[in-house]
Amino acid sequence: MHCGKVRKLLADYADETLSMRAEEQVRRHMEGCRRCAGLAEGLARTAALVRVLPRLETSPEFVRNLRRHLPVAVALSRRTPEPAGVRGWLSRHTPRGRQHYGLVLAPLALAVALLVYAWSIRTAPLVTASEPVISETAYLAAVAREHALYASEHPLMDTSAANLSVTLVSARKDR
Amino acid sequence: MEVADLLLVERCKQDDTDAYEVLVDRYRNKILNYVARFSGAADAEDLTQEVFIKAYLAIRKFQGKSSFQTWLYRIANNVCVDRYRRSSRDRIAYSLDDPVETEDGEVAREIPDWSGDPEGVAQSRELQALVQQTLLTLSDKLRSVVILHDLEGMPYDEIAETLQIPVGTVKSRLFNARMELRNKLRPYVEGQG
Ligand SMILES: [Zn+2]
Repeated sequence: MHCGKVRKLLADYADETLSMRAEEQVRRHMEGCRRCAGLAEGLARTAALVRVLPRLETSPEFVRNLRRHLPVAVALSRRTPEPAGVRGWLSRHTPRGRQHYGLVLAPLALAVALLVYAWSIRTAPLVTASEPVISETAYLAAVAREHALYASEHPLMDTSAANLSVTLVSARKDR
Repeated sequence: MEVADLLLVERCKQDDTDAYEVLVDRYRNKILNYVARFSGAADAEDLTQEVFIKAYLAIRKFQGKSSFQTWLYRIANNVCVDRYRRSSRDRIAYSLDDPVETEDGEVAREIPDWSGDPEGVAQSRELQALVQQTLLTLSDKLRSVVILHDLEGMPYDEIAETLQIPVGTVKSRLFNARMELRNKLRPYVEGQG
């Protein structure tokens, strides 16, 4: 076995994951090659040195904080705006994989929609009793307010407000 | 008896947040440690929250092709890489000659005297801070592998699955990461002998 091959196996050698035969070959090589032996020892010590880093544990508030953040995040993520207008209506009503239905439905839907629209502006007042629409800014402001409230009670603990809104906005963009 | 991860995931897909809390409890410390060591961030716990929120929002996309743990680490890795990219724009490159920051304030970087009590010195906060800062000088790719393997104790094949790279690449990155760390921490590595 030559030095190049031995060096490729050194990580496995240090972790004792080599086959018995390969391990024996590496060991025999290192008995005669001080450079590889020195390298192996240095790498093993480096791995050991990295392990001086202590294990951390989450704070007792971790789960409680998550319980507060999660419903807000879920609510925000479900507000993904659907495509508006006739296109949106079609995309909601066309079965997947049968997009050609849309080609038939589109002119029909457009005609029906125009009829309904013309009829509605003649008969009904312009105010409709639909669900109140809250703007994205209003939502984010609500989240920010909640965090501000929390941060004022626990000034040193809650630094996640900005992260959360960034997360939520990017999570929604991903969809 | 412990309920299997995949069963809990199925319950999460039905909006069962109690099931999710069991998963969170199972993995919160692992993810915290990975995130803290990868990012070196003081707000590692907030980043960990972000990981668990992202995971919950995406849980319907989890198909069970890999383990839940692998999937979670992958999200953690993405959150960290993203954060690191954002913050490194503002970060001033530091050199190993700079003072080490510890919780007791800044102290000058000096090589400890190994002749005394090496165990005690090895446990010192100063050395921990030095190792952490040296980890941060590695590239994302090397850093993720060395943390997953040497600190999280993850086997090669799981690392390959988490980072979606071949096992051979995991091994070569681990080798390169340890070489780079050895060179940067040479006085400490050699002094231990
Ligand atoms: Zn050799």
